[in-house]
Amino acid sequence: MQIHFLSLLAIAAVVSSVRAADPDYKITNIPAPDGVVLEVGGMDWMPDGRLMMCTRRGDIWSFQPEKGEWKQFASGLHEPLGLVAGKDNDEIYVLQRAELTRVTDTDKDGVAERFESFGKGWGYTGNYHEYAFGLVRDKEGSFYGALGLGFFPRGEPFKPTWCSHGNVPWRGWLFKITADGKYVPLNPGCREPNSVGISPDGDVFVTDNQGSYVPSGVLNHAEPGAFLGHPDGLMFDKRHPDAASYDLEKLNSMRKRPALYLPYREMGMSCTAPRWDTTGGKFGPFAGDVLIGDVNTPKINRGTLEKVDGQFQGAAYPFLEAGELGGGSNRMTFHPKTGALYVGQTARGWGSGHGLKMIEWTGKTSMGLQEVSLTKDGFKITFTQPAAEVKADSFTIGSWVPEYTGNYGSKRLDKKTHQVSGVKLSADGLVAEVAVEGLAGDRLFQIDVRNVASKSGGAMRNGKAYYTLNRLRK
Amino acid sequence: MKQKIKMMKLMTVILATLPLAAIAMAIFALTAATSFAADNKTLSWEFGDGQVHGWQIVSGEVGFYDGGMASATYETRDAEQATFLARSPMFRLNGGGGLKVTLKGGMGKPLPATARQVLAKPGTSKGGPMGLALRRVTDDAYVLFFEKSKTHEQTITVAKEELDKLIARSHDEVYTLDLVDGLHGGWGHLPLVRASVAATPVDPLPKPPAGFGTPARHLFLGSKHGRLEFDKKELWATPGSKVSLTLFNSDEMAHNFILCQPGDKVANELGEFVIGNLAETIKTAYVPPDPRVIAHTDLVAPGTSDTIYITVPNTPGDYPYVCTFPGHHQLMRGVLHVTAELAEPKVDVLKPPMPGDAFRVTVTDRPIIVRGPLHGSGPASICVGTLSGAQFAFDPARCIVAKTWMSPNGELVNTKPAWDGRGGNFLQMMGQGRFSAAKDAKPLDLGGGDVPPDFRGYEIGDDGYPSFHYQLGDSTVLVRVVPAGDGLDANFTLKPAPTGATYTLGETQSIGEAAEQGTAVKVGTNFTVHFNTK
Repeated sequence: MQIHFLSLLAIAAVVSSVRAADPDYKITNIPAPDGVVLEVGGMDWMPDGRLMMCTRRGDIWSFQPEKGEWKQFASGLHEPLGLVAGKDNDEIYVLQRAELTRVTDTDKDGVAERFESFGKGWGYTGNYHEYAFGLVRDKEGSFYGALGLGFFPRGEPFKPTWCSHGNVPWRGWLFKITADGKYVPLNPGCREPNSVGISPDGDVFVTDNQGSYVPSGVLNHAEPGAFLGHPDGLMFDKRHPDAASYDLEKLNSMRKRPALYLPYREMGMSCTAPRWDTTGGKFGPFAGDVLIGDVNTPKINRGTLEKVDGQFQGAAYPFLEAGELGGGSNRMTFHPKTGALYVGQTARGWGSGHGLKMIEWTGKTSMGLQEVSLTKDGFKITFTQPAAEVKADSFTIGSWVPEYTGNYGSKRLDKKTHQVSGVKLSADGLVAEVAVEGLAGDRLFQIDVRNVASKSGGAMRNGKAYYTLNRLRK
Repeated sequence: MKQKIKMMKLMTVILATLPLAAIAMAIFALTAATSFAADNKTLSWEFGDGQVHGWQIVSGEVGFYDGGMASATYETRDAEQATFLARSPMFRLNGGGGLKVTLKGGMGKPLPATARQVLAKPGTSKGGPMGLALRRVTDDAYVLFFEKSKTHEQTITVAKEELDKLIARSHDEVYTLDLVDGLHGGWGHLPLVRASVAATPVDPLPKPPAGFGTPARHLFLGSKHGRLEFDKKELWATPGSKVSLTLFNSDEMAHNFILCQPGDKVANELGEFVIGNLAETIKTAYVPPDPRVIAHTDLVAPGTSDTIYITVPNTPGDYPYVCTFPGHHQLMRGVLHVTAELAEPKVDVLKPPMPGDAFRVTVTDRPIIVRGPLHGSGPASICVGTLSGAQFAFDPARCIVAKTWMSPNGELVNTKPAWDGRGGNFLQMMGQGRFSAAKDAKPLDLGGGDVPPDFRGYEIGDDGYPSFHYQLGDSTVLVRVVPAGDGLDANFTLKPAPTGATYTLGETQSIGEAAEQGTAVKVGTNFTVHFNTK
């Protein structure tokens, strides 16, 4: 698209809704310049405070929140779905469909001239499902991304639906590109991994989308070498030359379980890039937790992670569900100073919604769930506000096994309800330890605390959690 | 100089004869045919009631559902089913506003340049055109068309300013709205819910003379305000065909239309005859008694029009037409091309900004780069639109200019197949293809064997044109492609340039004097490959 310079005064327009707004978080729509279709694929901050965004239509835009100013930095890119700011204020790395590109404004006139093919190494046929999702950078300067499988119905060799053609290299893999441009494939097993994230501790994670071999939206830990679930990527895995002969049982025994399952529908339908709250409290009480957006529904979900037996697992919670958020929350980033969350949106093809939203903590913390973690005989449930007295029947607990299947659409197998055999509430009312009968591994637990009243009597903002119980504590 | 004096002479003559001319006009005004309303009306149609509201079903069967008018058959389609084409009554844009159309249903498909192409038998079992178009009646051209996006109900608005551009080009142009559904092999449907346009209906044309038969086409001519010119200097017809021709006059002076036998001098001689015989020719609408006159209108007074019916001569050729009102003949003329096959109209297709049309990328004042899958240039093609209309695509996999095409109105690609909804289809090249590289093309040989090139990126110059970088063996290659002469120059720099390096010319390519396809030209550090795109 043509490059043109546009300046827009700040419009902090509040889109108010008819029903009661969320008391804890305020959502503001930030309109893009007239005529610009802002389908956000990647976001990051320049040192000078500009928010850089790449769009699926191939543009890079900057937004300066203090001035409310929009400027077009570049165009002509190939559906970029990841962006990381480079050094100084003139350099951007964007992940295009077929390459990682370093985009530079060499003469510092505000518009980029140089588009260097910085890293590549994977195959791409033009199939619309062959997205290259990204983009994050670790402390060594390596870039991480993940490659979606092409959509070829009734493909070979892993029936019945999703399949990349076996000869398109590295589809379905999570990869890194080192600081000197070398492509390194890391983990097979992705299906439509939108997208990668790095925790504050430096662990690499990737979400994946429900479909064949992926029972629901998931957050996977990209443990070095681990097979993450979808078998197509195994076609390029030198460790598994006979992968085409593997049956479902073998694949199920090989796959690393997700750190978090995001149940289909309850937690949206197409999860997006994970982003950790590193605001140290400016964004509310969930500092250190991970946020995950959704394409189809106006939802953002939250997760807390812990290690059991050396492996990540944890709980997922609804975080924000509001009509005014709109659909398409694809990428998120926190303002380095204010702690506000900027949400870049696009849903085209799978829903509706595009543009930029800003979410700010109002300073209020309603009653709700802070964290659910696993104990030897049940769960330790932490509330955001002191709870009034609790009994065993204040908690409703159920579980099921998410079906691992090649079919599109996975069943909830072996559904159970679980009795709470004992409850202990801490003196300050914030922590309830519940003993749960029938606790077992390799199951997803649904924990409903909406019957718990807060001491102050306020309404509960979020009272449901889904705990991915891969392993029991010994 | 000579011309100027001649003009002066004419003006003197005209002024001298004005009183007579005025009388003549008065007389002929009585015989002039149709008058038209000059009020600013809006034509609008609502199709929720199951009526066609005066629209003509040119082809196929009409049905009504989803609140609109559409093809009756949409559930199962095959190649045999006729294209559905519903056509509005004829109208002229009146500058009173814009155009608004509400469509429902699925995603549209591109329409061809003319209505007659839509009706031609496609013989395919998949695909086909589907959309709503603004059709210019005289040459059947789809001047504007709306390819519906995936949104279920879509209202498309064309601003007054955009229609004003059409009006400026041709004030009295006659249009229809065509609803086209030629989709085969699929489930798509395209109900037209409503349409409105700031336009004035064209009054029904008078009946042809007895025995003439039915005209196959209707041609419309107007005059350019304030300039002694017809709005169209070219018309097209097939030999022996029957057409109507209507001359609209919304000018301040009278005009006529005379169709003549072929010849360079005919129009001049007729015009000069009139000037030399004013008293005589006034009686015959300024039409000389010349056997080279094939057909003519009356003298058309301002604010009126005249329609004649012509059987086009059987002999192909260029037949001049001219207005012989004293002094007009030198500028107010054109050519009727009689050809066995109607040429594709020279369509200055309007590109108003509107949803769906934003997908059509057109160069205006700066080169444009669009990257995406393009047939013949790879899934990650870098498509470049230049200021000259000579467009090209660079394939970063083979590191070659893989395609060139010509687009006089600056169109580059239609991104809709790739960027609408889930996309999934290739970019659509817009324009006339000129060069397409062979699949295994490796024109640059640096003697390093079969080593594949390694694409390094591109840099945009101050003029907006990119220089592509790649590594080939031990050499870095820089290629900067810019418009030049009748096409594009690809300026190569090799670092280093190995001895014995050659570039093998493909079609349309030349290096200096060497222009034969297949020639392996010895090249050094700097050389230019010219791509002819004319």
